[in-house]
Amino acid sequence: MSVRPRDALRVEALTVAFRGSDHPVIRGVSFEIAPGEAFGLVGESGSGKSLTCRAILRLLPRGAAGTGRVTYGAHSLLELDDAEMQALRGSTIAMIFQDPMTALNPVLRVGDAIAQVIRSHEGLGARAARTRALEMMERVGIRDAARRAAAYPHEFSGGMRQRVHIAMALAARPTLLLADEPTTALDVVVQAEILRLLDDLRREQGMSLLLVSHDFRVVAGLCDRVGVMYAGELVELGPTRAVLRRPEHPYTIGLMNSLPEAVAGERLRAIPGAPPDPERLPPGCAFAPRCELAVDACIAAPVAFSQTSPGHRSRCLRIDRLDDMRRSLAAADGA
Amino acid sequence: MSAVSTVALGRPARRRRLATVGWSLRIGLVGILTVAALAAFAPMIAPYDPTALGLAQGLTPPSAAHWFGTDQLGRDILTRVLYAARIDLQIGTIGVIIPLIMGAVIGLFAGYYAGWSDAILGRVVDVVTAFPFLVLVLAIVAMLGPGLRNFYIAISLVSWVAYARIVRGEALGVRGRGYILAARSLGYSDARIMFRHLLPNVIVPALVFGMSDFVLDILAGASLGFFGLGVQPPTPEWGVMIAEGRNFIITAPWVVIFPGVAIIVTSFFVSLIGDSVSDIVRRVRAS
Amino acid sequence: MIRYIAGRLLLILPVLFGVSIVVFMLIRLIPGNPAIAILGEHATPELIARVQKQLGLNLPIWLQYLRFLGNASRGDFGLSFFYQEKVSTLTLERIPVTLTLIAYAALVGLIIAVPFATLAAVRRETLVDHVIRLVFTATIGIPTFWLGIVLALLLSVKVRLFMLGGAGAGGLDTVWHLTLPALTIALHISPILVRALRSSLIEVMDSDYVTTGLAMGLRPVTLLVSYLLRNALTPFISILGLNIGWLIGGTIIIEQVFGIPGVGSLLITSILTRDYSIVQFVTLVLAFLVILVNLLTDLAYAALDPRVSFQR
Repeated sequence: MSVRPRDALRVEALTVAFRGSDHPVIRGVSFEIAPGEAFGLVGESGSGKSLTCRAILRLLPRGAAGTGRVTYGAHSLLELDDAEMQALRGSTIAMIFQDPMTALNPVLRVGDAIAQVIRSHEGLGARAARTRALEMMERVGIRDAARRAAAYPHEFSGGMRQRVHIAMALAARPTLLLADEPTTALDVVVQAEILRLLDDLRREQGMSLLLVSHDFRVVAGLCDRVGVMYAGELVELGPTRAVLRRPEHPYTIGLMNSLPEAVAGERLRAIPGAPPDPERLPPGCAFAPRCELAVDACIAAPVAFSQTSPGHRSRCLRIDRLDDMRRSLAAADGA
Repeated sequence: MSAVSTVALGRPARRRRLATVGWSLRIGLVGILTVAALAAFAPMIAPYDPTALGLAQGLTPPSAAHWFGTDQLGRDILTRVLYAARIDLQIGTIGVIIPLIMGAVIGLFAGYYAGWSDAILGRVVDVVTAFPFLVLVLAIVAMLGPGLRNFYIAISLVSWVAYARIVRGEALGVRGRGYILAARSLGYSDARIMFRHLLPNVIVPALVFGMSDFVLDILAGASLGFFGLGVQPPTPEWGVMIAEGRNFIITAPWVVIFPGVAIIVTSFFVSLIGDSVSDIVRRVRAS
Repeated sequence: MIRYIAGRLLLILPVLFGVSIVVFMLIRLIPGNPAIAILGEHATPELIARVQKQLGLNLPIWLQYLRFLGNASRGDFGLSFFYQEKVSTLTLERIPVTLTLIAYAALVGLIIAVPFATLAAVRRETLVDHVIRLVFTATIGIPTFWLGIVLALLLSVKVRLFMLGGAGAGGLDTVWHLTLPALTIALHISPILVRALRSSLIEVMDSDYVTTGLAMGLRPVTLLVSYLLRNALTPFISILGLNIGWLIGGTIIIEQVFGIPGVGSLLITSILTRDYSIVQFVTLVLAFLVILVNLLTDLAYAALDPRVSFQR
């Protein structure tokens, strides 16, 4: 097993819009993932986090187009042609999806599906590919792989299907894995297993990981750095521990306060208001309409990032007032 | 194979689809209304009498005097095509209305009461649909004898099944809904509930089907006319005209071409309407 | 698998019964006395009485039905008044030609439909797609008998490409003779095939597993065959089977138009000569064919889709 050179993923000013609409659903998103790093992307549904993954691999839905610059090592992903992209997908950058019940081809035996991925990228014969497929299945925790490889997806449970899905994605040994809410459709116990599996595999293969989730807890356990997305924009970015300990954006604070465990024994606090309509965003901060600290300046013009500590930045004009917010929340909880 | 890799996924832009649906619906409506108008006013606009013989010396090609030419008996083809439109449109209309009413009533009953009446209907549907449509119609016409009236009887006996199945399916799905239960609790009679509350909500798919059935009936009527088992000569009907002109097709193809084109064009307009409406219905239901 | 087939056959039994009842009842539709209808108005009363007795028309209806079933189980469906031969022999000897024609037409239909449906699906909502759909919508309205006549004129008379009439002498000669008829029938069924395959393909194209396949960087050929076609084929085969009635209808018309000695032309001529026994039997046979094809389609579906188990 040769170790491939590890590359960095650089996303610069990624913008994605649907044809016929003037309002992009992803607006100038930029971040980096260092080789071997695990990066988490958190946000509610509609924030554009899934589309970001898709945009990187050029798998956007019909009618959507992405601009900006995405590089992985020497490859400039948005400029490659279809054949080059196809060669890259699976072998260098792989992606796993949310719903294991529909993600697998129902008419293919699981072993064959994995072997196909291997053979699409490496010139292995049928037997060799099958052996590798069985190895992958065992590595992802499917016991009795030789027998189960002949089974069809519908014969597996959700958690097992997701393992098969992961096996397919990692079969050609990619160096970057994009995981779009891989555990959202699974029950809690299985979620933990899958996340642990992803972490083990990542360390073993020296892969970089982009983990997308609406749940902070999922990201917290696994990722070195995290980015928070809202309405198609990154609003906070930094090392996971720093962001968790001291979130520097009202939205992030709100997110964390709405987690059941984070505030054990205290009241759940939902963020007031509703997710924004991409067609009706204010020119400035998209979260301002729901933010208790917002002032006119927030809405008037786009807000730039400010560095709050090394590697930690936030797109908020009212960072200096965040302590007030934190105090009032603590007080309300104490009451 | 770049076509395959552009197999990207998701819904197409809404705006474009709506535009084409409106366009085809408009063409269909204008087209069929034109045909219907031509048929309705045939006695006034047709240049000649449809049964007048010897207007010209047998098979003459299209000319200023006879736009569609004349057939072997010297009859003007344009006139006959126009008059035949009256018959064929009638075939399409009656061929849909009678089975629609029959099938809708039976389907309503079966869907509303469910239970054994529904089970019986299910068996009957299975049996009738085991026969190819044309075969059963032909067999019934064979027994009853040729002619338009018997054709209508045969079509009705066979077609009602499709409508019954559609309406019954819809009714079964709707009978548990709130407004039906409310009506029953108010003590409304079953008949009233069925016809005033259930019917309007279940009839739409049947009507949509009726449009493609319209085309099927015209084709069946023309086919039977062609074989001498439907409308009887000298009554002009497009299928009959094609049969009459068949022997002269090499020297006088216009005798066969024009009635055929009439069928194609009429069916096309109705199909356009049917497709557009079914598209719209599907979209409305999805929302 | 055997149990599945047996179960299926059991479900079909009531339908078979129902079909036999319908076929039996057909003769009762004849207005007036069937014997007179068969013999003509000038037949003597004795002759009429004899035929009535022969047909069992004097018995109560349920007895007549039993008699019908009894005869049927022995393969006796009566004599053709026109040919003076056993109805069953007359019909069954013509079945091979009809089956060949149907199969040939289905094959040609697929050859026409698959490329156009695939093109329309892949280029969904573009001009190409709309044009294809429009052309095939127009094709539904083309009367089959008219198309047969016109194609015969163009491709056989004007341009001596095909032979006309009859089914040829077997083997390649038959294929030659049946090509134009099969093509006509294929055009008759192609709109349904194109529509069904296109929507089946689109549904598959929009599915999550195809996205997965793309994301894994599968080779385009692999994706097309193992992911797209393989999944689109299954519902498509169902639709193909369901429309066998439409295919049979077209075949009957074309057999008569092209003078092909099959079951369809036998039906039409028998209607014209009022040979009621043949009409009855042919109707029965064709209904059985439909039922058989539906059964085979179910089996094919179960075999192709691993999610359908053979348990039920």
